[in-house]
Amino acid sequence: MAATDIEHDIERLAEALVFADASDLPALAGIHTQLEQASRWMADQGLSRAERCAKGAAGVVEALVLGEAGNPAEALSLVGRAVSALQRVAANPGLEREVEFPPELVDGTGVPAEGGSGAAASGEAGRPALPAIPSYVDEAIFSEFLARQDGVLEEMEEMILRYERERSEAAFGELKRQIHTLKGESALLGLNDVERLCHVLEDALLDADPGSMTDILLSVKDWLKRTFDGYTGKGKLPGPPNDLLAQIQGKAASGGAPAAEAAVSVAEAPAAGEPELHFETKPLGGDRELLNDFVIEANEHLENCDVHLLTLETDPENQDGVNAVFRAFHTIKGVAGFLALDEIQALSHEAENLLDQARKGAVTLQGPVTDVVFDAVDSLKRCVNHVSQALATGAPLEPVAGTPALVQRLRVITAHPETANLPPAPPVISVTAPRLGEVLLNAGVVTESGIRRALSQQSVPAQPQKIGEILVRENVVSSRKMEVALDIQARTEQEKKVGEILVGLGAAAREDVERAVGKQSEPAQAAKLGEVLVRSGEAEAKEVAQALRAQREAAAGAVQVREAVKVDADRLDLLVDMIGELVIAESMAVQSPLLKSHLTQELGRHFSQLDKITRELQVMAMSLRMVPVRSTFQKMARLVRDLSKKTGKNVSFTMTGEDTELDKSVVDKIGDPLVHMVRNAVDHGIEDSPEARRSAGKDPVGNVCLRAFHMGGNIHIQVEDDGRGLNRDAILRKAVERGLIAEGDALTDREIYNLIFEPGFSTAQQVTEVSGRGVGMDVVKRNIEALRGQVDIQSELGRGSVFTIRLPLTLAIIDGMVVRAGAERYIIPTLSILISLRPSNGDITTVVGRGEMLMLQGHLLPIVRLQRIFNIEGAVANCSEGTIVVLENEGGRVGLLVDEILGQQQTVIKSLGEVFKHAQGIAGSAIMPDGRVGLILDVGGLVRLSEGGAAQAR
Amino acid sequence: MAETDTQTSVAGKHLTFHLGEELYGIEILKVQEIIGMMNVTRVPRTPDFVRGVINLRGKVIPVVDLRLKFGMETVLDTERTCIIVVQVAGAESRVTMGVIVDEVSEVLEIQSGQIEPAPSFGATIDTTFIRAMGKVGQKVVILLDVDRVLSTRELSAIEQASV
Repeated sequence: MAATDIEHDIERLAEALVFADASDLPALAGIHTQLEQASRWMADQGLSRAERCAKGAAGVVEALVLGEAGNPAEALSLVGRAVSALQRVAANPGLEREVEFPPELVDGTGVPAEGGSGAAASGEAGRPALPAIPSYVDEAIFSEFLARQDGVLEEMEEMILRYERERSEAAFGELKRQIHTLKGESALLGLNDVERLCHVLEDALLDADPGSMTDILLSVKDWLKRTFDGYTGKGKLPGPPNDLLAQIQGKAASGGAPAAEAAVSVAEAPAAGEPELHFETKPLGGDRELLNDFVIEANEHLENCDVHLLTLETDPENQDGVNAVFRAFHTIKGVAGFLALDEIQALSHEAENLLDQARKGAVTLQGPVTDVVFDAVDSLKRCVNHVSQALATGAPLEPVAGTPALVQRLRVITAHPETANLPPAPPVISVTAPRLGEVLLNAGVVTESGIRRALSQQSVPAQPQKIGEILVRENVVSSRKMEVALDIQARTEQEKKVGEILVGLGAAAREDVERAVGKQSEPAQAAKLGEVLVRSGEAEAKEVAQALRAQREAAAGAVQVREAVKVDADRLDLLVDMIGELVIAESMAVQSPLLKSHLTQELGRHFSQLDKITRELQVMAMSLRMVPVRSTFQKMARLVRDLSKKTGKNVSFTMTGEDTELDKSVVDKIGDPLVHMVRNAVDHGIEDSPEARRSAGKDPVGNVCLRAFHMGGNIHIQVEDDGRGLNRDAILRKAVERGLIAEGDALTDREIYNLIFEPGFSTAQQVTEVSGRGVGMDVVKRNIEALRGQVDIQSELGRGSVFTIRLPLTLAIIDGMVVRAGAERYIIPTLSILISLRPSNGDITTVVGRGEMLMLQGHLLPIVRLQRIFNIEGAVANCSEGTIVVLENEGGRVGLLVDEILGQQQTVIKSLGEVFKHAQGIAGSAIMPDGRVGLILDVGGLVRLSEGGAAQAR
Repeated sequence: MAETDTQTSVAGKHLTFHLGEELYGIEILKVQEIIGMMNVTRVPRTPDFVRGVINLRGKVIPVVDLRLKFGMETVLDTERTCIIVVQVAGAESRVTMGVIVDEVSEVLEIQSGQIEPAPSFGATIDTTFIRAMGKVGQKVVILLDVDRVLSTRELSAIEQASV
């Protein structure tokens, strides 16, 4: 097409556009075609921006035709602008760089990609604060996409860090999947920069050593985060990721020997000290008939191996299967040794060793391990085939290529099973687990007709199996011996069972036969599709096994997809409350005496069903607001990593209890204080150099540990480092200097350490980029107190420090023990309970000035009478009549005297609100199953109350 | 406060209830609902007039015995004993609370002309709790300032005595 033609065409296009409206479908279709033609012409001329513009415009028109455009009028005007720009390009192709294209069509993010015209950028100035999204993109879809990205990026970071830490292939696979998905979605949404970045990254990950990419991956994640934040109005949109692209491409180019491959090559290298294996062509020795028998038997065994390996693929714990495969190799090895078939013997010997490991549970027959075993089976089949060829032709026996390597692989895996048990990246990604047949079809292993045949075969009702078949399949006896036995059976006059004959011949052990008989009486199961396919020769056993694995991974992947719906927190609270009410109403109805007198069996069934549903609902309601602290902890992992780079300290980070659940609002607010504490741990806690650590007798790598756990009815979050520890004297000096305390004040360690929470308090000799201005700890304390929590410090100079945040369970679920005192019931957090006992009078001693004490395992504990501190009427006064619950709180123990323990119960803590904020000894309340309110005891408060009481008594 | 101001600001619908021989009124806008007497869980170490807490459809709210609060003698709960659930101003936010009364009467529209300032003496209760007196027909209604009666600061006072 000549330039004049295209100029003419675009002119007509412009005219058509003037008259078109969004509902005129034929006109729009025409415009679409012309735009596509134009884009092709632009492409031919090498006018890439014009081409993208034309293509983008065509996309917008398409969206218009399909009725998907959010705002038809705006979309049309966009196309109009595109066409007028194209007109100018067509008139003078040399001007392409100067022409102002609608930026949303050319570069998605609205920022010119490379050296774009300043005019386009200045056109942005008048726009609202939020970056424009391409008008052909549905806004709802776009915002839904953005809403999801926070979680996606968080997961991405987790995977990056996990890969760096553990070299976990699963994490790497997941990461690749995430990047791939993001690429696809951003392409759909016109986020061209994001798409490009993901695409390049994806390519790079294939070539380069992913381990060296951590930094780049993290910066990519950060850039993506900023970009998505920009679109949601949380910040400025970053520029195009040109630096990142260059970095990635640089990496990909230089990424020589990928670490993963290196690992494999190590595994395949011959183990040190082992002689190189080599099998020579040599004439067959041994008896021809025996050899013949061997070929038949071995093939049988090997085929059975295939089937059993398949079963193991789905059920690796199946001991019968492992044993059967083991027996097969064992038998082959024995006979091959006897017949001087060293190749077969060596191979089956190694395979047997591996299977022996599997029998002992040292190796799991799964993934790569199974693959190797399959390879061994295949290789053996080929060897046996060679034997049979040699037998038929009289030619010397040819060795099978690759056997020595395989033998080595078997050896390595047997010796180091851990190298093999890394699962490979899942090859198939789908949301629901596909069927085996589908997987096989997609992989091109079988044809559709093959599958259909197998399926029809599968649906034929299976016949009860004969005892001989079972025994042969299990590799207990060979088919030859079975034939002999059957022969004997036919010849003998008396009716004798095959099993008995076999046992009599010594061909099979009695228990094996008995087991086989047991199997026979089991209802025959329909053969599995995979087995049918392998038996009928439609597919290779190894391929089926891989398909099974893919299927399983796809299913596992389906489970991992977490769908989230954002719900207003108030509505959620209301729902939880309503469910609570429902539970109570239900139990009242079920327990109604009126109902009991009319209860029929049917009604009883209905009610028990109702009961079950309400209980489940209750459990669900309790978990609704709770989220694990994982995502917050994950951020700390990243923080430590970045800090250790920045400060040049070598720090390893561990976390435990990241599944501990906290109320969502608490999890959100705990992040800031944690950042400060972790920063402190790395910057001030850990020594400046590995040498300093070494000379202190510590591991040169510093450790920072983050923990979350329940204790004493609170949730504890600890930041521990094994660094320098707090310098008590330095803190004291500084405090005196600043006039916080007077010289000579006697302070406990705890009081001294708490001084660092004073505003502006810092003992750091120098303010670093990271911390040291003394603002941090002050913020920590204030934030945590706002959550009604407490911070505690334990430290030892030169050994490290532990910062513990204790958070009350405003809404946390606790396990509670319900106790009774008089007519009142209270809930004690189970976690604070050490033991409970019924004391005899002899266990109680009265210590002058300290009240009653309980002797427990050689220790004296103070006894707290709930009845006395809560002024409960009618509760038992004599210790020996009641129950003593021994409670532990912050290292202190007390025995609490109650009337009896009523039972255990899981409850959602409800705050007692402003009115009872200062109620002592009460942590909160919970709705009891009968609808009344139960009070949860605050163990720490009780201890303080009892101490106060003791003090008064003195 | 000028008399007319009191009259206009207090005028409006009131929920009236009995406490002993006297008739009291609470601004209807403060009332959330009226529920029958239910099981109350005592909260230890709180003032006497705080009966405890109840479960109001999954929400735990404090309940105040108005008789005890006003220093009247206690009576046993009857069928007519009710809990009026009200919303009062707390230190941080609005607080839902229950008030135990002998019997709920009716909703009365009290015109500004029917309103007289609170007497400085004569009533059984502390006069700071009284916004005004309403005279409707033969009846005299003591119009309560619930925010004062149920001041959270007072309720949360910790009982010091018992150890």
